[in-house]
Amino acid sequence: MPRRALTIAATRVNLGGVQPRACALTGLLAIALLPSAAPAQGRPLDTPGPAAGRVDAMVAFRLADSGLEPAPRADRSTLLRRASLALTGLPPTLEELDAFLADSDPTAFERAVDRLLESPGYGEHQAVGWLDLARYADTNGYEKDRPRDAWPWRDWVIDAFQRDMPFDEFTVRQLAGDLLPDPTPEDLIATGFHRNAMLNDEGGVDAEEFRVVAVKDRVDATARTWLALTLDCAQCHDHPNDPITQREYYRFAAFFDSTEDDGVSLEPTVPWPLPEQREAFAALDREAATLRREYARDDASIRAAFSDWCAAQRDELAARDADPLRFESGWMELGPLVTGKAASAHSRRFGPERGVRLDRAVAGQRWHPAPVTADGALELGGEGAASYLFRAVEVGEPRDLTLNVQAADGPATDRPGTVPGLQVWWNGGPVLDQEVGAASGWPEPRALRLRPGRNELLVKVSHAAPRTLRVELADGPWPVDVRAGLARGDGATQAERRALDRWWRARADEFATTRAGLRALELRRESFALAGAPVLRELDEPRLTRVLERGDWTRPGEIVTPGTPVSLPAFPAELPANRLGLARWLVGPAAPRTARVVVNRIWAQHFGRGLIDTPDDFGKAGSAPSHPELLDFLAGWFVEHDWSVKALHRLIVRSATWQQDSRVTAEQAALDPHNRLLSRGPRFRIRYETIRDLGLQTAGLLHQQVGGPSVMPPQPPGIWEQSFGFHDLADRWQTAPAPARHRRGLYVYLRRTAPYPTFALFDGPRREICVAERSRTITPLQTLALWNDAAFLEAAGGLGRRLFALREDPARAVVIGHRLCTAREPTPGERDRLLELLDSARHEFAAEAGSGTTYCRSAGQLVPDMASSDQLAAWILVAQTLLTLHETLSQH
Amino acid sequence: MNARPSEHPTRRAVLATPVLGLGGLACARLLGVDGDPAPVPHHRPRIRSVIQLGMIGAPSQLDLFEHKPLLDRHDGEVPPAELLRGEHFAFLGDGTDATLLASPWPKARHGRHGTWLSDLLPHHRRIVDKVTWLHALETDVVNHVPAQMLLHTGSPRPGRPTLGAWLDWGLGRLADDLPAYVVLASGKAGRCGTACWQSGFLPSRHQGVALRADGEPVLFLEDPAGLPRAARRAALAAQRDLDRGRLAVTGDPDADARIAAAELAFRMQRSVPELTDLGSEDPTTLELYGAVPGQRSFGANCLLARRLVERGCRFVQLVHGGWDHHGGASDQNLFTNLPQRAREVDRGAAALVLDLERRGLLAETLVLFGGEFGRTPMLQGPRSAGMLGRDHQRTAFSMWIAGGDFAPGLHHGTTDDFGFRGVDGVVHVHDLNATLLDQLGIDHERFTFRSQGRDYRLTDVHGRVVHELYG
Repeated sequence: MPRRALTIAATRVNLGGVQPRACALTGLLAIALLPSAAPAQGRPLDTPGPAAGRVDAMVAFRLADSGLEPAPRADRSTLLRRASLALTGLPPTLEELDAFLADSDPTAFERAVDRLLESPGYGEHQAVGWLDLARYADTNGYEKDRPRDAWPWRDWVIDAFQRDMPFDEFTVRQLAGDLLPDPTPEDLIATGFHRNAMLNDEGGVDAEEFRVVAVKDRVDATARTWLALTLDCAQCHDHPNDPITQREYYRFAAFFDSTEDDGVSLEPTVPWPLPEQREAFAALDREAATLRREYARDDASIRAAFSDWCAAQRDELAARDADPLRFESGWMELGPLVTGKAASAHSRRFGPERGVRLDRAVAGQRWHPAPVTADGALELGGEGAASYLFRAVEVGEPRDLTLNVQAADGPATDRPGTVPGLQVWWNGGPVLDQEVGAASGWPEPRALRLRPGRNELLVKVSHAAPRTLRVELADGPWPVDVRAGLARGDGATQAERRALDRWWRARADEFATTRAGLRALELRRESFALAGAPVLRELDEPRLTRVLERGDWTRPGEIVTPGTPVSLPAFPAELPANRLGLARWLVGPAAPRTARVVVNRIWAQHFGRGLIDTPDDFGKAGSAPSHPELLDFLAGWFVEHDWSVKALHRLIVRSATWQQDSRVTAEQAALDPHNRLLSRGPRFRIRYETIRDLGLQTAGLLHQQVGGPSVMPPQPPGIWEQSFGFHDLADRWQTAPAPARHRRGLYVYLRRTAPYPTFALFDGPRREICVAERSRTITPLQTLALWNDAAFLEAAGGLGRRLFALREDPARAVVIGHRLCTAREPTPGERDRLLELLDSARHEFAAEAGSGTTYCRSAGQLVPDMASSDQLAAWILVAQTLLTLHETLSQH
Repeated sequence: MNARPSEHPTRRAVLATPVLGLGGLACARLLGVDGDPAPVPHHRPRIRSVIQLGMIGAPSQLDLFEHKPLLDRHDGEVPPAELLRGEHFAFLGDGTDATLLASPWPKARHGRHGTWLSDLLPHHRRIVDKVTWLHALETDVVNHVPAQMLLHTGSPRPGRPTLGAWLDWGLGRLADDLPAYVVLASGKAGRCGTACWQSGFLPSRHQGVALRADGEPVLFLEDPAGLPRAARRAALAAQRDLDRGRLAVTGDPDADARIAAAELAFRMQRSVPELTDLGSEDPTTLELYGAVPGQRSFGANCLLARRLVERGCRFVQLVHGGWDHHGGASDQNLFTNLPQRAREVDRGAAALVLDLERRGLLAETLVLFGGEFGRTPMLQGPRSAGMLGRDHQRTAFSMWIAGGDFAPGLHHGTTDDFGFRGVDGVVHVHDLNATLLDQLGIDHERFTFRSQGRDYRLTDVHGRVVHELYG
């Protein structure tokens, strides 16, 4: 991909007009005038010391104006916890914490960061924000809300973050992986980004209506995710103060208007193995590669066999030419015989199958010459009808003939499932019976044996709508190009030779074993029940996109071509006017904007808010950046460093700004209440996934398996019953056994009309539309969940059990529990307060006989003996208290 | 709480009295409002609470409320072409192949205004003069989920807050131990699941809290088996002390909200079971609603709704599914299922109006009854007894509203002779929402929330307050 040259030039040169606000100019100056802090070519990216210093200088410059001093550096355990949560979404383990605190080397923190960036949790944690933008869910949405296999795309995202795929490449593959030259299966999976759009298979919907809704959703998600631009206001009409016109909206929509998906169905999909099938699948691939190498063998003995065969075939060809086929007439047709349904037309025996009499009427119709198009295809009329086709041929000597039936009315109707019913009789005997809509598609060419004298061919086609078919009878077993290759001998073209070679290998005895092996492999491959991941596929003929009057899909207006808004950098003529061009434009000419949007979101991930705190709106209505020059610097740096997200994380966490203590002083509270000036370190509530993962990890329960279908941890009964489609669905919430139920939060099954309740309570979005930022509320219903939800209670049970094991020294156990949750040693006062709770809890459990045992079981813990059950119960309650502390639930 | 500058605690007074050491500031943040869109109310509110009786799936107005003698007379005939022009039905296409279907059930006139009412709704006879009748409502979309979204959020597409969420955000809470926006479901589930009570782009705490019929009424309300209440209290106290202690060091204002949330959670563990226990109602009230303590039904939900607004709940949304009567042999059969649905809701809905009235609550509470769209005068399904059905219709449907300034006994709007579309007094669902907000003291055009760079309204860019409905 020719990316670096283009994007860097764009960053430097093409800043004007990127942002419709004054800071665009500041941005231009900032990047153009500041000396580059980029490391020299070839220097490793992980030593951005001077760049981090630049970040700090820009922050200090603003802060100085306010009269505030930067906060001191946070203590080491806080820093490690902050980095662990920010990069992997998991708190440090005690071992990691102790090792880090004991490491006095000046590079200790850098090494810890590198470890975190390479740990498997990194990709998973980074993916979560992207899943919100991409509106990822496990069901289709709307009324029926049926399941879909979207997870292969989710796994692709995790893997891309883990491998630090450059963000520009990440962009191009997701928006247009299918349009890349020779796309890999992974490139197709990547396009699932936009197949996350909802689809409506509610009864009585007009597919076109919801296809248009999906296109608009893709416009919205693309514009917000890459450009922090809200375009949807422009879909109905122009607005006087808006730089984007309605026409521009539909030009942008035209990029997304020519995909095959129809708004009501999951197709097209790509088959994809489950994680447990992956190994077996790869083994099949390896075996197949070996067999294919053997099949392509081309040594002296093979060549000799081939030329012997060619000579024999030429003899047969010559014999045929001496005794040509004599057709009695052209194709005769009886029909269309209409029943209203293709299936019933197919199953009804109208008569000719018992023997054809061309002079006899059937069902009131007579045989007539079939209507033929200029290039010889047969036109069959009628809806829900059958047509019989008949032809007789005479020959002197017995020999083979090849019958081939194919559609002649365009590839769009050629998909499996749409083929008409086909029945063929040869000399009165049935040779083919394929029902309407057969999944196998059009039949393979079929050999027929001619007998001396008259031969009769009868074909019955049962179709839902008028069709144009090609029914060919080729003399001999050879397809046209093979026959031509044989006839021409040494004068054959390259293509004809290849066809001849392929034909021979498919039949030669020399390859019989290899062919059988390949066929067996194919059957084994088909025996896997694979997932079907929805992907984008471009139509051969693009749709004509029209402006929709008032956004109404039933009121199409002027035709528009794909294009980007004029207020953004120009779309170069050399880029194709399709999704691939759009993707390249986003990371090319529009890179200054795109890079700002991305670095702003990553900054927000660390600080709880972006430098522009409307992360999906950089337009006039969005808020002004707190540090415009810093945003510009980071964006330029990011692009120059090959769009490496990991490098950007390193840069940020090594800055003194990020490493500041996050306590809020009275002075800061007065002068910088929301930390817009970055006068202190970050502090905010962690999101649902992190709350869950943190609890499971401290409990020692977290099951770290990357990828695969989503899982169903315990949820209260009756949740899916709120969803209408529930009643029509065979699928039910099936609580996963351990350890699958203890997988990370991002793998929890998300049903759009009935989201996982704790996910929803902690502001998990509904994943119906693109969301750039979750709210971070604190509510009583969340507290109730933290106390009583089975999943959280299991975590408390696990942690309680760990602490109970240390009960000989309760003070030490309390300290360890506190460190597991907060990474911090409790103060003596805090320690004593927890010990006091332990005592009073033990007392309360003891006061109600049997309560301790019952409570332990509620928390998923087996009770050792009655005597210690009250103790274990008390420890579980202490553990739960630790897990619900505000400090535990904060990234600070 | 969300620490965005636009979402500060506001000056608005909070009626709640703090208990258990609930700090004043924290209380306001917890119960009150984040963001101060525009000073609301804009004018003196006429009502305090809204109870919406949502008939999910769209009941047939022609078989319940609309008297159409011409439709009855032309049963089985082709509908007049000029009435169908330009319309697209969900299943009947352009409608030209369909035939008219007379209502299979008799209607009679009741009350001082001679209101036509189907015999399927005998209890409604007692409230015909107490409610305002809307006969010519219209909506924009013809499929269930988009239409429900449009009715509840002002947009057929996902992502916007529902009316209840808007009110919770804009007006804050009246009760300190109950959610302000409560959902009560009965019958077949609602079509769009929890999307019908979502908070859209508003913080998620404004979404409706569904009080569940089975098991615990609020999710995760009950402590796990074996945990003594005193132990829970001890843990709460420890958590509070530790969070407070840390707050003194970190100065993190969110710690306050966390403490307050925990204390409210603890109180709700008592207040919610008390709320949902109908055993304390006197037998005549239970009889009025046809409610049986311990059994969730539409009638019991109506009674719960009254108890909720009594306790200061702002918005109660009842959803009762199973009205999608397309015909055929399934549960979508109009002929067998409409009478059954009517029986399920008739008594409770009427009782709610009567009960609120006798307690003096109707003046400050609105009750709305209706679905997301209407059903066609044309038959869908086979024309044989017991298999009848009607298709979706967006151009005309009915609703009734009681309470506030709404004129008792008023009939507003008429439809053509067959009930295809309104000919006068047409009220769009945006107009309906504008009028509801007006009753709450809110100017729908000034009640906005900035999200993704745009000021959003419940009524989008539409809506008109229908003053003609007021007495």
